[in-house]
Amino acid sequence: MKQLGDDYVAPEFRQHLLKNGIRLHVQTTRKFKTTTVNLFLHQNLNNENATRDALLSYILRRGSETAPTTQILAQKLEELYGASLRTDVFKMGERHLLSLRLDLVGERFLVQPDGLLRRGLDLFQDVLTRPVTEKGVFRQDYLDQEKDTLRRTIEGLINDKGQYALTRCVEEMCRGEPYATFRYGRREDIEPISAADLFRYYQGLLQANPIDVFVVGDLDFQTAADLLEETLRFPREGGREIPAGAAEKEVTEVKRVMDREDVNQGKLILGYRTNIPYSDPDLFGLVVYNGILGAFPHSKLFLNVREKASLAYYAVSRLETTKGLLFISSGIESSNYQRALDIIEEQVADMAAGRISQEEYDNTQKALISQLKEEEDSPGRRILSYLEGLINDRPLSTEEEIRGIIGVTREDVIRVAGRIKPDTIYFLNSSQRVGEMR
Amino acid sequence: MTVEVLTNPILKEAVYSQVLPSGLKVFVLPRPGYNKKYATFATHYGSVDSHFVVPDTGVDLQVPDGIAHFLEHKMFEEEFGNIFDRFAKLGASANAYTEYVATTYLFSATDNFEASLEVLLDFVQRPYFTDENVEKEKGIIEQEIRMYRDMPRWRVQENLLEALYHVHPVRINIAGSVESIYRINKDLLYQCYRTFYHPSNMVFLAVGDLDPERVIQQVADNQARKGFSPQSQIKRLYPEEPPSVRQREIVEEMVVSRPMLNLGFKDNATGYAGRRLLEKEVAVTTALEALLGKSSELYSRIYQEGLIDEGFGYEYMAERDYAAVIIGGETRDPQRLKDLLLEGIQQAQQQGVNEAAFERQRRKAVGGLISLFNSPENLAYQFNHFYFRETSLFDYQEVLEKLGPEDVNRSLREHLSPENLAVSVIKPKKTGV
Repeated sequence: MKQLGDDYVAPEFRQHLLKNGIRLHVQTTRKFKTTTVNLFLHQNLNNENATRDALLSYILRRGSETAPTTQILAQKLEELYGASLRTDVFKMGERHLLSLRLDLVGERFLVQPDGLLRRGLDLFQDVLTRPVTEKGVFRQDYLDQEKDTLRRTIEGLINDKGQYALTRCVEEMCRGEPYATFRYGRREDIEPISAADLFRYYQGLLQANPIDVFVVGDLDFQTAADLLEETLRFPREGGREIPAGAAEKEVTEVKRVMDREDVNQGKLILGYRTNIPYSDPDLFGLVVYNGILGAFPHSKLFLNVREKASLAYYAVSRLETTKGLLFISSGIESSNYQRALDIIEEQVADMAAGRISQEEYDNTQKALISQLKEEEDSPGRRILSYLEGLINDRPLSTEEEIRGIIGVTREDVIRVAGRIKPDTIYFLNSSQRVGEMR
Repeated sequence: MTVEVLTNPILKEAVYSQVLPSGLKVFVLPRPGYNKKYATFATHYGSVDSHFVVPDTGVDLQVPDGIAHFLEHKMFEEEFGNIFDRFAKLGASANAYTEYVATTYLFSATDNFEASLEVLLDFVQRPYFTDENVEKEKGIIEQEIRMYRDMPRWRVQENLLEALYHVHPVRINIAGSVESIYRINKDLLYQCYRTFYHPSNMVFLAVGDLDPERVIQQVADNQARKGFSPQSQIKRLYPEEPPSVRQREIVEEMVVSRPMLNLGFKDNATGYAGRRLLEKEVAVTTALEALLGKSSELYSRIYQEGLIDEGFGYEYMAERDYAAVIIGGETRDPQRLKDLLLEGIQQAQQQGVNEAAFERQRRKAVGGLISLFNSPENLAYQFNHFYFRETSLFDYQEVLEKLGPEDVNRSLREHLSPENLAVSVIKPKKTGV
């Protein structure tokens, strides 16, 4: 059997600072059939900013000077062999990110490429730097329509019960901290935003906030650097810093929160503080801890909540490594609340007591290494994972991550377990039969 | 027996294949440079195959709804424990999914591909059902069913199929119901297994940085050791489906922020597979893109009225024995959206799509096909889906090139006719219990 992670060489990102201070990260590879360009605008996380960023992510889709309607923009993208140009907002720790991503088919696969990459980048530039305006600011009708879209998005969270439960748990758990902010912001913050305010805010973002741009595809470093220098050649002052968020918090009492809705399945979420920042030497120990506890079908949660007790279809744990949070989620019958909670807490206690078999440990290490290697097969996933490292001033190559995982010992995992503290137990359910919550 | 190679110079891709003596079809799609190696082992057996003749006994059997999916869950159980652990020891991860017409088992690995491949072939060909392990699964699947029941996107579509079809089993959801799964027992599972899991009803596919000849040889050796005897053709019994829609409208209340609408157009021109089915699918899909895509007039209009959002979508479900166009999404006003969609459809049927829109959709489809090869799992999914309809993903480009605007215009007229329409609506329930 092959050894863990041996003879593995991952392609790397090469860095280049554009003249205006935008950080460029290039990965040259021929394995994909597309070229991906992904730009991230960094911002402080709070309700006002999240709301404005989300609104921007919608309004940018409405078009640019050369493609002044959604319809014309869509037509242009179709002409570029179905190129996709997507915007998104999300948070990493206590930082909000506005993303603009272009995916283009590689020119070598086309009979008549007609300068596809260049034309795609021109459109990217146009959408980013020359949105449709009216009297020097965003068009009022577009703004009004997109305010509606954003309201619907925020209200629509309830349509996905799993996401709703997780978001509510975060909200209760991190009350008073920036991380409590929903990635689309708040309904009540939408109304006061004017076209002029939003436009000014956007210009400020472009001029002063940190920007990272990634290119992954079949073009060499110098070509990518030249093309992006050209594409992103707007003047910037730069200089706005995004403060690092807090990744540790002392919990004095475990919060218990229950929401009632008429649902078929109760959603149980347990939120923990890992108290381990991304920069901490125990980062990889934490990743292994999470793997043994609940990231895989061989993990304790799947085995005990699902396979042994038949209480759930899913029981998983996941990490937010920038903010230092761990969440356990499971969908259960409302009346099984206490049983499920007991089994889950028993697994967490077993981790802390070091009741981890050699097999659990080995399987988890292998699964994590496999996952890291597979990440290299998806431009989007690799970009996001690298971005998280950048944000935490600890950019990690895949090889460094694999070495990190290999270096974790059982003692490290047990030490990590000792640092993780329960914070909030959240339950979305329909039943009156849940019984007294302890 | 020799390995066949089919290449596509535009995609710069090749697929290697061989039919083994047992009837198993084996395909390998090399993806140089990829770390992930992905393999699927799939049977042409899904939730719609609920009535059939058991080959060895000749018994005509109607089984409880959801049994194909139940069987998929139970295949992961072995006499000596669960199969996830076997894969975990190899650093590989396994999964499976059941659809209306197929059940697919898969693993993904970066190392130990060959050992993982043996595990996949062996566990799918070694059923182990006991009264106890069958009982144990019911609680798990019940929670899976309940999870989907809380998802409005699934409900709106399931209800639509229930409205479109009188008797065809596609009207029943894949996992069955909480009531039907409790009627499943190990004997029924074994009978389904014996009927549908013969290698001649299955297909194997591997995608990744692999040596195709070597993979095919390994599968052949594994199968040769098991000595399968030939199986006669499977008799699947489907009820006679009347051409009309069963019910014009189904409305359900759920805890959602706003209503959802799905329009469904039942397609009665079914009963065939292969190239003809692919041509039909490509024509209808192109028609829908031109009519309803973001670049269309109709989309602009309904978007600007605030009737739809990013989640608005459309698809053509095109199988041998059933087919339907489905259009919809969340909306503040299902009636208004329905009216505008039907009006837009009628207009397009009269005027036809313009040449430029048609060309753009064709370009977009070419780009979509090329991009598909970026993702091993999506590629495998599509490849198998084409295979089960007796066609090939590698034929897609040629069909697309031969497509003309007249095919698209004919599709608009034939596949979106108001007499074949049914509507499914989810309405918000007052929240709080």
